[in-house]
Amino acid sequence: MATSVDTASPGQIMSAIKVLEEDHAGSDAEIREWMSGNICRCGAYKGIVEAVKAVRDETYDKKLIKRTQQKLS
Amino acid sequence: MNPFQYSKAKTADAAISAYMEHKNTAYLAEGTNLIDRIRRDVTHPDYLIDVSELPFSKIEKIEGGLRLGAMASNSDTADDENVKNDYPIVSQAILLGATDQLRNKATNGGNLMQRTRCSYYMSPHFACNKREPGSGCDAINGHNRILSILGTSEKCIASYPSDMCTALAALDAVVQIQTPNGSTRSLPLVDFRRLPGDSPEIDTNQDRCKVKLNK
Repeated sequence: MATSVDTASPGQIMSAIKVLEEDHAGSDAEIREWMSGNICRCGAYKGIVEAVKAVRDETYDKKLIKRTQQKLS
Repeated sequence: MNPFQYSKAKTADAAISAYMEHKNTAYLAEGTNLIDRIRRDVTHPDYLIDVSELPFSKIEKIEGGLRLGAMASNSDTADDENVKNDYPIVSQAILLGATDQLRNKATNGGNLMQRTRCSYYMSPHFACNKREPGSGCDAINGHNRILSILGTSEKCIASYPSDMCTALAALDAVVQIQTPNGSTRSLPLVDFRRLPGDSPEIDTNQDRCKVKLNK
């Protein structure tokens, strides 16, 4: 998990989707700059950068996504 | 925060007549600067004229240059192919300021009209000639590292915060203004914004702005 509380997560996720869609995830520095409008009180920024990179590189745990989808359906 | 009246203008003419009709008015675009100032008790308009739906959101090629619509967002402007290819300095300058979320909301017109972020101006318990004409300037002998070095006066050392307009000034940009009688006038950007001089409360050389302030 990238963030630790629900307060910041929805905004972080919305930003992360656009950062990836609009191709601003080239480097850690670029991700940090383009994600910088969302403040995370818990300071989980390292995890957030890792999460964006994991989606960019498709290295995230796909089983996790499947489980969540099953739960939701 | 003071209560205020609010109306939405659908045309520039309607916005201007509302502006002339009421006292102590302010134009509201997307509010990324004005609402902050109202909430912080820095500005107390009695009447807000929402201009966010005026049809000036295009960025178009015109003879000899580009016309940036006042209601185009900073993000759309920075992202525009013509801006990026022909005037990359504008795109780069916009992207240096604020964050993506703010740039998505902020308009070019609002960017041009924004007021200083001088912390003394933004804090009503300090003296500030720009906020309260004649009250003095606590910034001059205060923490002023981020304020102006050039173009200051004895009354005010506030800096103009727009990165975008600094780039536009370097490109000799011209501001087109619709006047109350319906005509359009053009002013070079560097003449549109004023140095503080003796009246730092007046930010721009827009005639109607002065008329209003003198009321």
